Amino acid sequence: LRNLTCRSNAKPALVCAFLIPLLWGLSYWARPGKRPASFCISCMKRHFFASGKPMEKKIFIISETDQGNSSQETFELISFARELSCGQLPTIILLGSGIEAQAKDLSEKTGCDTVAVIGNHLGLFNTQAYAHAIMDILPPKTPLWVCLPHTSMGYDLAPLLAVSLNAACITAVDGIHSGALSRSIYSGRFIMDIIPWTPTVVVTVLPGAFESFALWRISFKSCF
Amino acid sequence: MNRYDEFALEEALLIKEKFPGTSIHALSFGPERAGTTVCRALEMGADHGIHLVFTPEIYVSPFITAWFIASYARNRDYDLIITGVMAEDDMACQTGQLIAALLDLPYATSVISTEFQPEGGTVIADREIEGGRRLSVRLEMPAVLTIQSGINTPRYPSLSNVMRARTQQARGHQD
Repeated sequence: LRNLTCRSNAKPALVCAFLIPLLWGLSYWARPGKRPASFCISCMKRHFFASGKPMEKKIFIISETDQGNSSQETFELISFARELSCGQLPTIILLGSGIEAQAKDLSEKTGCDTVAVIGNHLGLFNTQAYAHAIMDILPPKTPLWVCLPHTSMGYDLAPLLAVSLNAACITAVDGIHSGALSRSIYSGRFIMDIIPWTPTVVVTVLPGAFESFALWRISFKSCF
Repeated sequence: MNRYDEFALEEALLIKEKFPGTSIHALSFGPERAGTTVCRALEMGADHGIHLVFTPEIYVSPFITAWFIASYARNRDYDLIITGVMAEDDMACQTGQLIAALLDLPYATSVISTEFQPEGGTVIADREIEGGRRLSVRLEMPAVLTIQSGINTPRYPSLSNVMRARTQQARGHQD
């Protein structure tokens, strides 16, 4: 009898112990305005996952070439993409003429899938030609992140891609915190936090805002 | 007036001086206080001023601004739409490109020099790119240009233009 009594007394406490954190967690997750970002258990950060599934949204990076080499901003964009998605490696799109070796080198250096679009008309930057080439590569009707550097190429191309993809366009992003993309306004006096609601988002990232990605750093960390 | 828009307006005025018969429509989108910007444009020498009034005091994204301007410009057969490269406040660098994308027009950003060929209906624009380099693009008109600072020296309003702008403003109120 004593045992039974103990058990019956313990029940409400146990139910409360499970229910209260569960309800609190649900209300936190479903609060308005914060839905697109969800909490990642592996790295204990909030990320932009579509309906909580990290692999649902693919990330594409448009790489910029500088005199036959991948620009520094490409590696910074990889860091940004990993920050967005809990370490997921993005797909790099490289455009130009005679860039086969460069694409292979970039793929080996970063470990990312790399798509090289080669054509004589892509040798120099041309907005319409680049936009058409990129739109042919991007999967249609799929939620995506399309990331570009905030350079003369990036901010020229991003709005056109955004209109073509029916996506939000956020330029000059210099940070990610609390599940929002942040950018400086009024000459850096204020910081604007933006949470995009469209399934596809086009982002340009300010050069120097994220550290350059290096594959050996991940390999080194994975040893421990 | 936004500093970059002053350069854009000055570029339009220089085109007008070079090609007489050109008409400049200065357009601003925003709350009531944005009307002063349109007046300033008229004082500098624009022929017509258009103010698209948007009174809600909310954050207006570049897309909203571009959508209203594109909707206004869609059936008006402008040969050239010139904007500043960015707004001084939110520094988004998007509005000009979005207007062009919504109207399906060719565009060039960060333009630091222009050369018009009216007989061919084209404009050659030099874009400022990284490393102090330039990239020349040839665009078929109608086209959109976003003007970089330093392309010209914006003028001060002349007294005659100030008087004309006041008359035009009074006419606008009467209508």
